Amino acid sequence: MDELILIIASMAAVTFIPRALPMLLTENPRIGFLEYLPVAIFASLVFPDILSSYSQLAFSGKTIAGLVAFIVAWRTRNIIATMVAGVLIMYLITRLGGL
Amino acid sequence: MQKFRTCIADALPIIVGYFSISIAFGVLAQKYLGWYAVLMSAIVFAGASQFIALQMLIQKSPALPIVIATFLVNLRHVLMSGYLASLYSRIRASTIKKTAISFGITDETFAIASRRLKELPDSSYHLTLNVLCYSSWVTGTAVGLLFGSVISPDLIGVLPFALTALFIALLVASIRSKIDVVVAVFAGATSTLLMFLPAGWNVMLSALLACTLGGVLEKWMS
Repeated sequence: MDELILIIASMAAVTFIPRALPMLLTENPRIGFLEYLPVAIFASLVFPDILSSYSQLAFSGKTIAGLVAFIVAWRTRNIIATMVAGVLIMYLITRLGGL
Repeated sequence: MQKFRTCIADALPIIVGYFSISIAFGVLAQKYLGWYAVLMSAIVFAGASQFIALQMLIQKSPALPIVIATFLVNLRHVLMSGYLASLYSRIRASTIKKTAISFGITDETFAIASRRLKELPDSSYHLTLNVLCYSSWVTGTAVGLLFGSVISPDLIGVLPFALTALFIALLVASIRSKIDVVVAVFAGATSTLLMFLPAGWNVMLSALLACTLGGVLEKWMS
């Protein structure tokens, strides 16, 4: 048996279980406190990403592109416009030699 | 039909983001995993953990640490699945359908579905959304494997920022009250300060703390 297949299959199993169990086993969970989960998750994902470089706190190209994306998101309320602006700024910064 | 159009429109940003990042994954994995990269995308379907596993495989890590890291990184989905379970107490869906939907829970599909399902409580909408995003992820991986050599490395380096920008747009769109602002700032700061933890744990802990804070503030202010 190829070890790589075994690793990938195990990864699939341990990823699927936390995804499926709450949804399949709980009928009507009391999770009033999770009301703010979406906002909390978005912020938890975004800020470490734009304020770090290689897992170290840092001001980088991502910080600038992130700020631009925030402004575009605020002004346009358009997801695709925000993504295009963010990636474009990142690309320009990279081509200009990075930060 | 209207429902399907809504679904396509909602899925589009994720499709674009996933396609970009999975191409990057395919390119990076080509040399070490070959077509196993597509297998991984097809049965694991969890971006961050796949990049981490790839990194560990390149460093010749044994199997067990890779599987444990994957579990820890992806454990945060337990919260999203719990949140969706509460929405599904009012949405009709068979167990098979719920199982299929839960396989497709990611940060991004959760972000879109948790917003839309409140006004469109429909499991077919949710399943279609997840299938579209999943197809983009798997196809992108294959495209990265096949055409990686003709894509500019600069471009591959910046494409993952597409998903960061997607979350910035969703964050801005979901802020409607002062409590939302406090929760977002607290979550962002906590998650950044906890960056030294294994990947995924900072997100899970800060999200849990921040949404508890939100609940407490709401009680306190009413």
